[in-house]
Amino acid sequence: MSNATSSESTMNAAGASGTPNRRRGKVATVAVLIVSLVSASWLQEKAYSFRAEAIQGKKQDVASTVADSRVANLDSFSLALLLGGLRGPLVMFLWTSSESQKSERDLESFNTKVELIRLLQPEFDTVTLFQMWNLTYNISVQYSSLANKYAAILDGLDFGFKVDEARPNNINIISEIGRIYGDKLGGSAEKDYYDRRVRTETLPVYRAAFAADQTDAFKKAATDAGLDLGRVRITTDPSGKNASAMLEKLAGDRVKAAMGPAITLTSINRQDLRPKSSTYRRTEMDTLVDAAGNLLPANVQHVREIPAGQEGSNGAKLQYLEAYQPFPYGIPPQALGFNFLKRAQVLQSVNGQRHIYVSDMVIDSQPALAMKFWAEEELARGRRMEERGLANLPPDTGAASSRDLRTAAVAPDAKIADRFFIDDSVFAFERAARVAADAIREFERHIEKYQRNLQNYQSHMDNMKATSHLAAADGKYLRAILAAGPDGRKLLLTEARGEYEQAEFWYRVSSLRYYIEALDAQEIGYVRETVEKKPLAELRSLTTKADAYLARKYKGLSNSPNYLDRVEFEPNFSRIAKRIELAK
Amino acid sequence: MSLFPEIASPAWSGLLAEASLIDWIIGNIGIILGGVIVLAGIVVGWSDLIRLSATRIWALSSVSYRESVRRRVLWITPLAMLGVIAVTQLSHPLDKQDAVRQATKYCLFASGMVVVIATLILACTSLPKEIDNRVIYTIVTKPTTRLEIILGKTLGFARTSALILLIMGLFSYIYLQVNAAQYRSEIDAELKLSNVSDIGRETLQHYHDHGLLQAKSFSMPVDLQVYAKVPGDKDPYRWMFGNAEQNVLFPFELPDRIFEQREDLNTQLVFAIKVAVDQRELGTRESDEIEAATKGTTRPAKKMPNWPTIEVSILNEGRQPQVGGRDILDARHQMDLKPGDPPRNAAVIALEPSLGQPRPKIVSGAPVQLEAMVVIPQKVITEALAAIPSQDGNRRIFLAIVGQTSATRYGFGPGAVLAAAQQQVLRPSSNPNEPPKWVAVPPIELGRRDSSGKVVPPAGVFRARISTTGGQQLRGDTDKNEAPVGIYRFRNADLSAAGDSVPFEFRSKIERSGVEVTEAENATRVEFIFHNLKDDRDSESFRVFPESDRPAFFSVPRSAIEGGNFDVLVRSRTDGHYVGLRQISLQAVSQVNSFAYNLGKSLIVLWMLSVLVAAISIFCSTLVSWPIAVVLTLVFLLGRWCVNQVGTPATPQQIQQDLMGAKANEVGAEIFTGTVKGLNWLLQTVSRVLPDTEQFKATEDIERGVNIPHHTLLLALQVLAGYGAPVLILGYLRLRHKEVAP
Repeated sequence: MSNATSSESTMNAAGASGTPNRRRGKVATVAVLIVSLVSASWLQEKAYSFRAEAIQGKKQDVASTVADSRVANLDSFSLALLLGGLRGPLVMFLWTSSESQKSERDLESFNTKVELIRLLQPEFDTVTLFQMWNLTYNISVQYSSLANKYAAILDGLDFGFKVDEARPNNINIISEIGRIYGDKLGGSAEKDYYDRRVRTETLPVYRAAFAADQTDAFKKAATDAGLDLGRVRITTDPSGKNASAMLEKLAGDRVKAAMGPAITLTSINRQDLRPKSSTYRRTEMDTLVDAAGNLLPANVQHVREIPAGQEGSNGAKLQYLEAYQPFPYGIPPQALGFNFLKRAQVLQSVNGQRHIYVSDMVIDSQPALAMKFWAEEELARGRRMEERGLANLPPDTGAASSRDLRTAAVAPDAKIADRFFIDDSVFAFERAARVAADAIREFERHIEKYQRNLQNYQSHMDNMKATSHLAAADGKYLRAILAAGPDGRKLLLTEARGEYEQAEFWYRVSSLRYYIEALDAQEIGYVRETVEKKPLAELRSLTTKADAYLARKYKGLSNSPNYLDRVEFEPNFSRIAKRIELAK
Repeated sequence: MSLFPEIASPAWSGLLAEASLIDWIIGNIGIILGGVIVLAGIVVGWSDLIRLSATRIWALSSVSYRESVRRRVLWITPLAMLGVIAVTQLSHPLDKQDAVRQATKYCLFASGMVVVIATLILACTSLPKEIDNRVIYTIVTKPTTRLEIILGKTLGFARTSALILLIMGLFSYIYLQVNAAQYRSEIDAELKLSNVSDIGRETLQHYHDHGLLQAKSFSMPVDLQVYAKVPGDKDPYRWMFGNAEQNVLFPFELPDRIFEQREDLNTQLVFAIKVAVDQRELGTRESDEIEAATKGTTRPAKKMPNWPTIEVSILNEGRQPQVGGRDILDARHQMDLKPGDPPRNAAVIALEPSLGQPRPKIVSGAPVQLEAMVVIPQKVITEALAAIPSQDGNRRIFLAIVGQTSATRYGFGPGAVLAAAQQQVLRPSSNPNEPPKWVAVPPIELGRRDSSGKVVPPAGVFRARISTTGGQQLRGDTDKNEAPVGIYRFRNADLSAAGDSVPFEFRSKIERSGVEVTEAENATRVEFIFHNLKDDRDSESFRVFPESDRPAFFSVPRSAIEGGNFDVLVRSRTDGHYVGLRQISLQAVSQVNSFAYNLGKSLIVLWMLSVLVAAISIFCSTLVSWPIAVVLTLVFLLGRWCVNQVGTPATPQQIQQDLMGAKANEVGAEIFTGTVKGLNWLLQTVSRVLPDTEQFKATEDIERGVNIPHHTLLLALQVLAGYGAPVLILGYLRLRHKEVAP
């Protein structure tokens, strides 16, 4: 004890004598710290500005990009600060752990690890691109239910949008978002399911209010609208006088048509219904349009105006869908894909950004291809709705070409089974015609820049010409069926016939130009490059001659080169021939 | 040339194989060393042992405890709590249960990290610092022994870690309860908004009814078999589907004497198989499959399937392939061979009627009895079957039969497979001018033997095809009669603690195949029917929509399972959806215990880990300076785990091939493989003397909501006592001879 006491007194003595020096030292340390912090902050600001300028190519919204980036990155900075030097080892652990979880198909807490990786490595596009692809492709396929696969794809999109929020207008992220919408949601084996979900969910929902004594009428109207009553929750208020139910927009419109003023519909964005919980996992998309089908203002808010005829980002999230408003039947994933791929293209062509993996030429070509897929999807949807809307159709054989031919022989005075579906079909055909025509312009724009791609995309352009005319013709034919008087119907049928002939012309051009060998074409009596200069009657005759010649030369038509490709045109030819005949 | 020729050489290997004592010593090196250390400690420290005073140990521990608290070690707990809250906010759970599960994991992980790191640093620095600043003088100059110092310090740090764990435990309990209450109110809101037929409603209802913080105990089924239809009392057969969708296994015991190898003895195994066959017309899917399999060349013109065939193979006791169908002879069709034809094997066996009978016409709904006979030749017996380890004078095998034909059901009755070992011996002829002759001796009947030693014909074990993930693939079919049925057998299940309705948990892997995806949801629908043996009645059907590898919950009324002996019939009812069944896929919740009690058990495991850390740290600090002691303690703690992660290189030759390529010379390759083998042996042996920290399982069960079994605590205690005591004695022995004061 005596030893300890003596040592304490020695220390006190030293402390007493050294107090002023120590205080001066402390002040100096604090001063150095403050100066270091200020200078670090200034240097960081400079570094960010320099980096942003480098990325954005010195043009447009650099300031807004940097400002957004700071706020959205707060989580990331905090986490990095909290972990200090342990950030690296933790990221390594999270990567190996999440990858081994993936291979073991153990998805519990997987998303948390991926989110932590994002927060710990916020600056690396390669990390973001990998994890977006990982969630969208690798993780989604591990689920068995389509709803959970879809939710995993939304996780991948959310991942991208969070990075976009922190670092807006990055070509790598924007093009990956477009690719997920277009290729995964709009082009995978499950695309029919995803397409329905995306279209439905981009629309708002209705809160339907009606008198409680109208519940039976409501149930009948809901059943007639194709709703499963087991999935419609009707709640009655405590007084027992009023009832309400939540309905999807399209079904709600049908119920409203059946019940008239007895029901009141209030449009609500589905994101407003979600619980505000930090652990909530989004399993559906956000509403993007209002009840009239117009894009919600937040999606088309302009930061700046782009002069007509010029390309450039106006800062709106859905800038390139604005021209296609309204979307009364929802936005298809292919359209969303087009919007983001077009934004990526402009970030490259105007802002000078370059994708880390994909070549400039590929980035430039993506919007045109996305529009092609969008047009094809709208055409297919038009056919599906047409089938549902027309009465007395022949039975579905289940064959791939059945849908094209099932409605082909419908007379102009055919009966309508469901007007809602016919309206939907007309809209889809007209939208397909417009998008296909715009796709051609987009291809032309691309080929002007990358002329060596002419060979690749010429056939797409011819195909889009045929699609545009066919969709326009189908739309006019349906409008003729709906027409009230004989004069209006006759005019529409005449227009439809003209469109069908144009469509047949371009399908025959495609068949003769791309799917018959050059030497065979010469023998048949035409030159592939100039075949579009011939009239339709001659093209028909050439097709007949070609079939006879190829059957003879290859000992059977099915043995001839590209036979399977040419056969794909047959349902279109059959449909067009029937419709031209009926439209006379 | 080998780097360790004495180990790699066959002579040494043979010696090792025979020298079971050496094997035993190497296998139990940790226990032996521990025993030796304890003995040495008792012998050397006997004088200190008899002077041991609990009062002095407690006093010394109080010094360490107060010193730890004075060093503000408890300040680390608020930081850990903040960390837990922050990380929980960043989590992206799949659902509410996953959210609570993740929060539980973070809480326990943080508690474990805090307590281990704090104990490690405190215990490693304590002695060296006391020696450095001479505080140790004040202790060693008093009438305390070195053993009491070691034990007192360990107890002191154990008290400190207990306090840390108490604080963290209280925080965890309150934080998790608050989280769970919040999630539960959200679940209530979701349930109010959802509809009766919504997918996933059963799971939400389960969370609502049973809460999110649970400590469940499960009752497991004793058996799982998959049939083409539910076995009926009056039906003499048990049925399986063809199209390689199912198989049936018949167990046999092969006595060692049939493996006797002599030049004058020839043995072969003969299996006689009787199968009932029922066929129906092919459906569209089956016709398409046949067309696809034959590349469009043999789309069946008629609607009835082909003549029924089977494949026969042999599996070992672990149900892994031992002898393929190509190595087994199809005895019945050998007589059809023309000269020069290869022998017919059992990869594809056409079933036939009894000898001399014409093939009958198979009509749907009227099963016909057919037969097959297969022979396993001597060469296969000695090469493949002899490799199966013998137990109690027998080798155990399964004869596996796969039905190959589409739209066909295969039925197996009692005695469907009979087997015998037929032996011939070479006997000299009575005429000395004639060569010796092969003479048949009485066959050995094969099968399982009952208690009286009598051979009983085996009963079949019916299974579905095994998927790559190890489950039995239960094909989905909207037609109940065409959907295979899995039957889980629960026997003597004690579900008395469950309430009026008994919760069941179902978890499987689901695969989709050959179904076109449309706009529709098309979720996997699985149906369960409970057959209670007590009253021989079937329950109503219970329907769930499981997701791959996620638990699905449903509850059944007590009456359906009353008595604890019941069968659960499972069918997948969605076309093209295959549900992977394992025996543990379906579990009944037999009891739900308090979460607080479970958390307490988890914290006790962590506390035992911290005591072990304290013991090792103190030992290391008697050897080296404190920074090195920290590293050395970590090596002790993580060494065995690291070796387990590295694993045993199954084929050093493959590693050599990968690293050195095919061009490596023979000597180089041998040196390499010998080195790898030697290093691996060394690593494995060293790891046996390191503590098995993987036995401190504090989080696995609790985060899954499962009651931590008592044996988990016992295992942890076993490692603590078995490793901690010898390490403390070593520390004592070292300190005893260490000069800490003049």
